[in-house]
Amino acid sequence: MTDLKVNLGGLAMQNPVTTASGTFGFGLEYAPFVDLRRLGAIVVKGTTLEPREGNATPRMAETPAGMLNAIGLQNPGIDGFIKQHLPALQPLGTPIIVNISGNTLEEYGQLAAMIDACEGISAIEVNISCPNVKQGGIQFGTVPTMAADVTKMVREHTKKPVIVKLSPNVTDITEMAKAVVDVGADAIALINTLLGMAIDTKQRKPQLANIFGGLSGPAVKPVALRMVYQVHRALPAVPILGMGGITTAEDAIEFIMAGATAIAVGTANFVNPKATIDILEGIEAFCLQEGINTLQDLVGAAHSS
Amino acid sequence: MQPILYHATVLEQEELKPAIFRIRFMAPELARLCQPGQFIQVRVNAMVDPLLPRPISIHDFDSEAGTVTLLYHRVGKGTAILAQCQPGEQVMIWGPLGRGWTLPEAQDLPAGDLLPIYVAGGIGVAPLLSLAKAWSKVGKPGILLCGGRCEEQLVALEEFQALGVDVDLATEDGSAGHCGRVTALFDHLPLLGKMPLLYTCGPKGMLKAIHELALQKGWPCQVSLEERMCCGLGACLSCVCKREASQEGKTWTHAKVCTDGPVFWSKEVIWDD
Ligand SMILES: Cc1cc2nc3c(=O)[nH]c(=O)nc-3n(C[C@H](O)[C@H](O)[C@H](O)COP(=O)(O)OP(=O)(O)OC[C@H]3O[C@@H](n4cnc5c(N)ncnc54)[C@H](O)[C@@H]3O)c2cc1C
Ligand SMILES: Cc1cc2nc3c(=O)[nH]c(=O)nc-3n(C[C@H](O)[C@H](O)[C@H](O)COP(=O)(O)O)c2cc1C
Repeated sequence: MTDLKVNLGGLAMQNPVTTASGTFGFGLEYAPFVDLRRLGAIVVKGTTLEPREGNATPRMAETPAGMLNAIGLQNPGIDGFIKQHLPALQPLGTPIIVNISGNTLEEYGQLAAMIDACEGISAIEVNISCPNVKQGGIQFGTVPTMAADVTKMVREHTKKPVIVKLSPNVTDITEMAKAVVDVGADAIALINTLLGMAIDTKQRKPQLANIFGGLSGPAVKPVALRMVYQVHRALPAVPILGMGGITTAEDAIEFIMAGATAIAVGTANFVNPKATIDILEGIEAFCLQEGINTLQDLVGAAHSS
Repeated sequence: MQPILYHATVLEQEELKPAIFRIRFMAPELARLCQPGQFIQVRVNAMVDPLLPRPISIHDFDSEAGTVTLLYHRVGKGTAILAQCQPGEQVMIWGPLGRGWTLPEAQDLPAGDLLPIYVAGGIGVAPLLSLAKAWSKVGKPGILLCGGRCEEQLVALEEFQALGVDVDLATEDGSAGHCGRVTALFDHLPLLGKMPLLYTCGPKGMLKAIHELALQKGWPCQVSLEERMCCGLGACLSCVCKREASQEGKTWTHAKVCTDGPVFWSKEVIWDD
């Protein structure tokens, strides 16, 4: 049996398979199809300080081998998450990673402090890159000094592992990664969605009520993989949570070989509600076939040759 | 009730009218779980384009025969692929999903002698057949008011008639029944002193018109809503609608069409757009 254990910036996981924020709800939505205890970690929907109702509909449009979404961070607020959802997740024993978004630096600090005080949460994923909210969001994710400010603020308010999730909508991803690692990020998650749009030609208007949305799914995989590779090359010691179009175990292994310590399954959950488990089992089968004893040895394997 | 994932075998598929198909699957475990008004997700191919599963209402189910039947309109890429499926092929489906119609035995129906009236617009007839079966079982088959652009859009009428349902039609071009909108059929309804209970599915404009009529008459009314859907499990929050709320400071919240619905009481829905 291969040792699948990995450590993501201080977060010990039994295997590298996690869920991409916003695609797996608060976890239990997928319980009919997935034994949640088998996942390396569960990353829940993006939470904010106050509850949010999100954007108007249509919020989703399908595109070739992908989809655009503009949900706008509809969520019950961090308090709502901790009271209504977390208790049911606790008995699973699976590490819970909470994804946070703030309108201001102060809000990121407050969110981090609340999570730090909450025993049942294992790590924080800081979303500095949501393309779908008007305030804050995208600027925090595209200007290195602002990304560093957010990271510093979160770092000051928690001892838990801090994973900073980067936006792919930048010229140089390694510059962003360095900026947040310099001020205390324990790991980097990438990528969030690519900003895009689609037009309904009959109605002569954008398909999404929000006009723009985030592209995800198999269509973005080569871009995501390239960014994981670049960040690993620039910062080989920093663990990466890789995502973007991962649909099969083969995709996941590509990300690991590019330098991801762990991976997240996103849009693929919609296509196959058992995708996380199928990918986990596929990774196990690959390791067995290739005679790999420790999965950790595969991380970044594509760089040495 | 927990949904299940299934590689279901196609038993038969038929084009009933141009571009309107009926497909029947063998899926015994699923058939046992179905409730009228619920839907399933259908993954039309094993490729990544089209990527997402298609949500389709459960038209009919037979827990003894172990079959689940869908009625669908071929409108684009996904339904065109489904329409090519031959008997014997397997299709990945999961469900049943969502909350269906309020059934005869439910506690939250008004007291008194009820008259179920099903109002369908085009393919919106699909989720109403199994509901009519449930009412027919308790001796109240009710009335179907079915509207469409033309006669070729009206399907499954014989199935309703076989249950003892009175069927009345309206088409915009006058090719069948009354010439005009389905709402006009309400002018001559034989209510016989009973309390109408409206169940409706179809284009949004029609649902809104039926809701307004129900409100004006004081009749209870349920609508089955459609939104662009993704996961179908309440996880991604793509398919929301505005629903009245009474939480502090809020007059509405975004409800999930896939798990809070697709069936809602029409007076809970905010019909502003
Ligand atoms: C809960 C639910 C139950 C449904 N039940 C049925 C049913 O019983 N029978 C049936 O024929 N259809 C039903 N639909 C609609 C069906 O899901 C869409 O027609 C189908 O997804 C279109 O797929 P496509 O690839 O063929 O078309 P696409 O190529 O995706 O789109 C073709 C056209 O259909 C429109 N469209 C796509 N998806 C939807 C949607 N979800 N709602 C409205 N318009 C859409 C597009 O905007 C486009 O104009 C249901 C939808 C929902 C949400
Ligand atoms: C419907 C939807 C909602 C999302 N919501 C969030 C979110 O709340 N916070 C976040 O950081 N990322 C969010 N994302 C981005 C995903 O977590 C992920 O980064 C992206 O989709 C790429 O992975 P994928 O191609 O495997 O889906 C969302 C993506 C989708 C499709």
